[in-house]
Amino acid sequence: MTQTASLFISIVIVLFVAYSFHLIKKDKLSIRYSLSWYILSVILLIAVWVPNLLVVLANLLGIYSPMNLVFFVGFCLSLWILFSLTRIVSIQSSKIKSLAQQIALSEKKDD
Amino acid sequence: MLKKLIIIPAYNESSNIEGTVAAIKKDAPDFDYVIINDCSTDNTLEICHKNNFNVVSLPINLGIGGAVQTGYLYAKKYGYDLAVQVDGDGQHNPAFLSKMANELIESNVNMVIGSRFLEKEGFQSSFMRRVGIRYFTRLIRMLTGKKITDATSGLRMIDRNIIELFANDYPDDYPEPETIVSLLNKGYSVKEIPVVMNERQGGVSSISATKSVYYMIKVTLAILFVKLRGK
Repeated sequence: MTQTASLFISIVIVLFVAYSFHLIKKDKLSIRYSLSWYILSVILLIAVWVPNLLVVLANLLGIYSPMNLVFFVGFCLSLWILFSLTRIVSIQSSKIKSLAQQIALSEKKDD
Repeated sequence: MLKKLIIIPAYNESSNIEGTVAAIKKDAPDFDYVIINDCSTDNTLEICHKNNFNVVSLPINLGIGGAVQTGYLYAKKYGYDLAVQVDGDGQHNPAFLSKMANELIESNVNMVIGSRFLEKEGFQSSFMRRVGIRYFTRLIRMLTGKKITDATSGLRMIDRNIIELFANDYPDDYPEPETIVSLLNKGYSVKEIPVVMNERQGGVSSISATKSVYYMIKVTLAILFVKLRGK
C-alpha cells in the first residue's frame, strides 16, 4: 500500500470522527450508538498504518492484495453495524407499539 | 354471568362501522363491545363519537395485530371472561357469537374459531386465498397434528387465560395462523365451529394481491419460529 493511500484513507476517517464528535457535542448523536462506528474507524486505521500485520493476515486468508483485506474488513463491519440498526429498529417499534396502546387505553378512562 | 367482550378493529371503516355495531346490538345483546380505531384517516372516529360508540383510539397506526392486541389489553384491564374479534367490515356475522360462546364454555376449550370451510356455506373467499388457506391447514397439521380448516379466520373467541397471553404478546401483522400454532404448542385447546361469512361490505382488505406472497413467506417463517422457540 502506498503512503499516499494510507494518508488519504486516514484523512477520510479522521474527518468522519471529527464530524461525529461535533454531532455528539450538539446532542444530535448518542454516544451509545456511535461507539460501533469508532470501533470500525480504529480497526481501519490500524489496518492502514500497520502494513506488516495486513500483509501477514492477507497471506493467511489467501487474499492477494492487503488493500482488498482492508475493504473486506470495512465491508463486514459496516454490515454488522447495519444489522445492529435493524435490531434496534425492531426493539424500538415494539416499544412504540406498547406506548401507543397505553396512551389509547388511558385516554379512554378520561372520557 | 360471564363478562363477554367483542373487539372491533377498525381502520377506515366509516362505511361499515355503524352497520357492524347495529348488528351486534341486535344479534349479540349480551356482549359488550369496544371499537379499536387504528388511527383511521377517514371519519371513522367522528362516526363513533357521533353515535356514542365505545371506542379506544390509537394515536398512531399499528396495523391489525397491534389494534387487536389493544382490544385484549382492554379486556384484561376491565376483567372480561372471554373476548372475540369481529372485523369492522361486515364480514363477520354477530349472530354466531352466542353459539361460539356456548361452544367455548361447554367444550371447555381455550379458543373457538369460526370456520367458513367446515360446512362450506356463504362467502368462500377467492380461489387463490383458498389455496393459501389449505396450505396453512396442511402446515399446521404437520407441525401440531391438529386439523384447522380456516387458520386465517379473524372470527376467534378466547377465554381469560388466552386474553392475558395475547395482551402480553401478539404478532404485529398476520397474527391468525401463527397464534393458533403458538397456542397448540403451549398445550391449549383450539376448536372450530362452522360459520357463514359475508363478502366484505366496503373498505379495503389488509392483504392485497401483491402482498400475498410476502404474507405466505412471513407467516410460514413465523410458524416455524414458534415451533423452534418451543414452549
